[in-house]
Amino acid sequence: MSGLSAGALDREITLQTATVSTDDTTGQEVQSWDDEETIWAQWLPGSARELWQARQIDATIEGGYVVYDMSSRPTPEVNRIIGHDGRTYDLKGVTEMGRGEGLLLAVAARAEAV
Amino acid sequence: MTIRDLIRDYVLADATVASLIGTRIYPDQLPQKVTYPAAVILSVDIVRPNPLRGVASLASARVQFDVYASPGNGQSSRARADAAGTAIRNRLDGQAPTLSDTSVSPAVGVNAWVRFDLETENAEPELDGGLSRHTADYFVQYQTRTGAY
Repeated sequence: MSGLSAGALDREITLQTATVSTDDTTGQEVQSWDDEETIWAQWLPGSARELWQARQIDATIEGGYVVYDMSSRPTPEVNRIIGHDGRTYDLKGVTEMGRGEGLLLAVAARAEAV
Repeated sequence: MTIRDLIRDYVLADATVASLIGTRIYPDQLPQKVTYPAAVILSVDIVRPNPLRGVASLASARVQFDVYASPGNGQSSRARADAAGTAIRNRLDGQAPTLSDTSVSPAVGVNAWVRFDLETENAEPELDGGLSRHTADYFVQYQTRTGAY
């Protein structure tokens, strides 16, 4: 029996995967994003803060999405999430919950209005 | 208007600059939800040589442009930051423009001479998909108007 409650997974999110190419001029990596999968998740709100960086006030919201485990787990290098609120969340880490029952996807996004 | 405002107007009047960053050159800081590329303009310092009497009629300012760019349109953030920074440099370096002070009527022309000083690069990888920064300083020598600018 799963430790996750299906009823708690009431937020629809979209997992996106990056295709990485190289800018011919600079050699810098360029990521283009495609929808990979739409999944149900539980939203666990975390912290919110404002920082001064890159000569601007940057409002950030952090939290986690709990999802069922996947055969191909997402990774911070090539995945990001379009959240239940329409924000684009950077995937910060993936933690296994239980024994392959679920995953906690730690995410952060800019908190300004979408 | 300050010399910073005059230089900002002069740079924004350039078609290449406008095509890359629109009117997104801001004093002090970027707006919180800015569209990239965008730039911050700062007067790092202004030197006014002391005359024997009256106020200085010539001054020299160091004006800095900080361009920030995110990846977009299939281009890397670095390429976009470099393109906008280079467009600003091409507009300013070695030029002797008559800057237009439109805060008075009729508008007053301010003679200036601009030369490039230095350029640096940096990155803010944690923000908005990874930002590249292109910073450049310019010396602007200019004629003041009865102590203005």
